[in-house]
Amino acid sequence: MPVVSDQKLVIERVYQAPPRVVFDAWMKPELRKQWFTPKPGLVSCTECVIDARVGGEYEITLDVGEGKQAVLRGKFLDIEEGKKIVFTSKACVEPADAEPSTCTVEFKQIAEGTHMTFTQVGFYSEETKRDQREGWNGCFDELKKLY
Amino acid sequence: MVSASAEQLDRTFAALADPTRRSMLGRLMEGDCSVSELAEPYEMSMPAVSKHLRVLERAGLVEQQREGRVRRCVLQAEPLRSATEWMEAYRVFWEGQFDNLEQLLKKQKEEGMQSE
Repeated sequence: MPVVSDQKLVIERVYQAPPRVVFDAWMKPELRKQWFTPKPGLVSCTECVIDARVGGEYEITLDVGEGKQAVLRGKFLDIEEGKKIVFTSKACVEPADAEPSTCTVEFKQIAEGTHMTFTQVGFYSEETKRDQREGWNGCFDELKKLY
Repeated sequence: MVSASAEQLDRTFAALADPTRRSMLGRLMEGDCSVSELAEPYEMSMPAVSKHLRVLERAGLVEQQREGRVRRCVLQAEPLRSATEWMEAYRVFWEGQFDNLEQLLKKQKEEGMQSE
């Protein structure tokens, strides 16, 4: 039985690099472009604009082939240099008034390097519109072909 | 990828959006129980409990079965599985990206680009 007792998606990773370096990989467009793509080096992240300040916005466009694109955009709610990023996330064809989900990435210094915790909330809210989910599913269907 | 209808997902997510109902589902995951057993941990009236139960039933998450005079609540796993599948799509997406991030960080390290 899958556990759906909470409305959170949590992913933890350990990277052999200092928190500062992992933080930069998220926030510097030239670095973000290199990993935020289904197939690095093959499928390009065509555009990456990051206004790295609280209240600033970002927009990332992925070329998913056959002339199709997946776009992710949102706003930074909180930024702690080298420690934490909180941002809203909306994908692709979601309508303008759809409620975005909120993502938090935390970077903790450990002996091996960085313990990164990614949390996404806002999947199950009653306001979550059907179009939003269908938009995401469309995105994932496109991206899945590439993995 | 997600087989459930959008309407079914809407009902499931709406049902899961409440902490009492999530806690009721948690109880039912341990096994079937009667309505009064299900209501026991909560400081609320029976009509309030019944209201939550109806939402869960409409979403297809719980089925009430009669056993003589007692109504037993039984968890129905299918809609829950669909909702989880939907969240799984996000997980697959992010985990793929985080694998790539690992590759990038390894490359940086090899090339001596991580000096602070």
